[in-house]
Amino acid sequence: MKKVLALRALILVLLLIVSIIVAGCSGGYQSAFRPPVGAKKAETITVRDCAGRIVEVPVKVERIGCLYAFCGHVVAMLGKGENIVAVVEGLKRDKLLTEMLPNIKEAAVPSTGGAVNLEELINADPDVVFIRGETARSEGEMEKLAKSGIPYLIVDYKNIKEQQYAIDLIGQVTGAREKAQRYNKYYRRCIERVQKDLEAVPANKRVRVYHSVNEATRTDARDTLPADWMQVAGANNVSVNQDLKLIEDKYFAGLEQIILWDPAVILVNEAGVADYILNSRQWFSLSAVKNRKVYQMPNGISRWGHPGSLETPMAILWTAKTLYPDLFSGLNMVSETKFFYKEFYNYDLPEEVVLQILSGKGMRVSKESAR
Amino acid sequence: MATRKKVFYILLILSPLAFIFLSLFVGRYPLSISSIVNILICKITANPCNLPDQYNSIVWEIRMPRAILGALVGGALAISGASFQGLFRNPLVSSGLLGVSSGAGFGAALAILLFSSTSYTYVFAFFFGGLAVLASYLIGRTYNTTPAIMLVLGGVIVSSVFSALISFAKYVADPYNQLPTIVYWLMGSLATARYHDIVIGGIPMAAGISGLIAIRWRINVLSMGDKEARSLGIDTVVNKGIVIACATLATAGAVCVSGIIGWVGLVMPHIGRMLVGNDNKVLIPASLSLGACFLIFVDNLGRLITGSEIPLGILTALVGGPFFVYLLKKTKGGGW
Repeated sequence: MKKVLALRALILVLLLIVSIIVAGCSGGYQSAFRPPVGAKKAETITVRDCAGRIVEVPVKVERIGCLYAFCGHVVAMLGKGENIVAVVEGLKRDKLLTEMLPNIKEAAVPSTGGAVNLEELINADPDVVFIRGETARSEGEMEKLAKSGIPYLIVDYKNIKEQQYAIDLIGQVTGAREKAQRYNKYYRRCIERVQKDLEAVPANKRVRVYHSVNEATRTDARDTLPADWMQVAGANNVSVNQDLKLIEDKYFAGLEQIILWDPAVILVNEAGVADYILNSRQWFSLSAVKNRKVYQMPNGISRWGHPGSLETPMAILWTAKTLYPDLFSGLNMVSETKFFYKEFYNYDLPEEVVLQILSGKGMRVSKESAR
Repeated sequence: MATRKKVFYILLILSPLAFIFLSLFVGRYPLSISSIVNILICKITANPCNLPDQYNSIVWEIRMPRAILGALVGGALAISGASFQGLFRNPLVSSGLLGVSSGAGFGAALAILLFSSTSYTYVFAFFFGGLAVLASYLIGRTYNTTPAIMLVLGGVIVSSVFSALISFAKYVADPYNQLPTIVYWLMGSLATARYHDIVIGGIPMAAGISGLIAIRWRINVLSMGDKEARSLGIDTVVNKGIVIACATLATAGAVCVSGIIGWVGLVMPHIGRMLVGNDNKVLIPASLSLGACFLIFVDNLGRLITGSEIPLGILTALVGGPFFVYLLKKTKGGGW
C-alpha cells in the first residue's frame, strides 16, 4: 500500500515538473499576453471588411497574418510580402511565393483545417489577420479571434465586384491602396475590353462551355467567382444553375449530366485532365471532344480562373480569345502576360516561361528549370 | 431436392444480372426504354446503330461499368462480412466493423504519400487491412467473458485509430498533388467507374471471392470452434489465415475502387441467414448475390431520389445503423 502511494506521489511530482518545463518552453521570448486592448493603439483607421463588419486597424501595419492563401497572393502582389508573419500551410508549400519571399518559410502556421490556434497566432504577434469566409461562419472561431484582441478581417467574395473589393480592402489595411487600385483598374479595363467586342455576339450565340476545376467532374456552381468571370468572358457556363453534387465545399457534376449539356468547349485548369478527357471512352461522345475543343487553361502564380485565384483578369482575356479567336485576333496573350507579371509582381519573364504559363505547365515548374 | 438446389443457385446467379440489366434504365440522361433496348440489340448483333453516339456511350461506357462495379463491390463486401461472421462466430462483425476498410483506406493513403503514385495502393491496402483484423482480434481476446462484444469493441478501436491515421495522412500530404489524389481515392464513388477500374479492382475482389467460395465448407467447420475443428483434422491456424486473407483481399479491392462503404458487409449476411439459414455452404454464395443486388439497388436509389446523387455511404448507413441495433437486441451481445 505504501509503495503504491509513494509511486503515485512520484508520478504527480514528475507530471508537475514536465508541465512546468513545457509551459516555460512554449511561452517563448514573446509574451503570450498582449497589453490590454486599446493601450497599444496609437493611430487607427476604420475599414469595412467583406462581411460588412467595421474594423479598426492600426495605420502602420508591419506584421500581417494571412490565414487564407488568396490573401497571401494579394499581399505579395501589393509588395508587402515581407510583412507576412503568419500563413496557412498551403502558402508555405507554394514554391514560387516562397522563392520571392523567403520569410514565408519562417512564418507561423496558426491555423489548420479552418480552425485557428489562438496561442500560436498571438505568439506570431500580427497587427492584423485576414481570415477566410468559411472560418468566419463558425461562431466559436469568431469568438476566439475577438478574445485575442488582434483586429481580424474577413476576406470573402462570390463574384468579380466582391473580389475587387477584397483586393481593395487588403490594400487599405496594408497601406498599399494605390497599388490595389491600380490592379483593380487593370482588372476593370480587361473586362471592358472584352465586353466591348462581345457585344457583337448575342446571348444565344455565346459558346457553351464546361469548366473542369482540378478534377474532371468538379465544376462551377452559381454565385461563385468562376460563374461570374466566365459569363464576362462570353462563355455560357453549362453547369451554373444546375443540380450539382456538393462534397465538402466542392461541386461535382455527373457524367450523364455533362453528356446531357453537351458543351461545345471544355476548359480544364489542371495539367493532365485535358488528355484524360480527350482519351476517355466515357467522354468520347461529347461534341467538344470530337472537335478536339478541350483546352488546358494557363497556370501562373495560381491556376488562372480558379475560385481562389488572383489572376482572374488574365483568365478573362485568355478565355475570350480562346472562345472567339476571330473577335480577339488583336489581343496578344504573350505580351499581355509579360506585362501583367512585370507590372504587378515586378517579374521579368523570358518568352519561354510565358509560353509555359500559357500552355498550363505553370511558373511553379518552369521557374526552377529556367535557372 | 436436387432440382430445388439447382433452381436456388441459378437464382443466385441470375438476380445480380437482372439488377445490372435494370440499372441500365436508370440515370439523369433521358433515354427511352426502346432506344436502350435498341442499343443493347445492336451491340449484341454487332450491327451499327443509327442512334446518336451519346446513347451508346451512356449505356455502355457509363451505366454498364457502374452497375458491374457496384455488383462486384457489394458482393465482395457482403461475402467478406459473412466469412468474418462465420469465422469469429460473431454476428456483429463485418469488414467495416473489424477495421479492415479503414485499414485498407489508410494503406492506400500511405502508398500515395510514400510513392506519390497509385501503383502500390492495392498492396498497401491489403497489408493494412490484414493488420487491422489482426489487431481487432488480439484486442478482442484480452477479455474473455463477452467475446462477441469485445471483438466489436476491438474493431471500433482499430477502425477509429486508422481513421485518425487517414486524417493525419491527409494533413501531411502535399496539398497540390498528393492530397487531391488521396481524397479522390478515399471518396471513391461508382459515379466515374470505367472498365479499367473493373479490371484493376476486379482482380483482388474476384480472387478473394473465389477463394472464399472454394473453402466455404471449412468456415462451417471453423465456426464450430477450434477444438471441434482440430478433431476433424483441420489445421485451424492455416485455414483461419486463408479465410482472413481472402476476405481482406476482397475488401481491400472494394475500398480501392469505391472508397469506404459501411454496413453492406454486416447487414447482407443476416438477410441471407433469414432466407437460407446458417449453413455457410449456402450462406456465403447467397451473401455474395444479395450484396451485389443491394449495392446496385442503393446506387440506383441514390441516383433517383435527387438530381445531385446522394453518396452511397449515407444510404447504406441509414439502412445499416438501425439494423445493427436490432441485431444487438436480438443476440443480446452474445455469440450464437
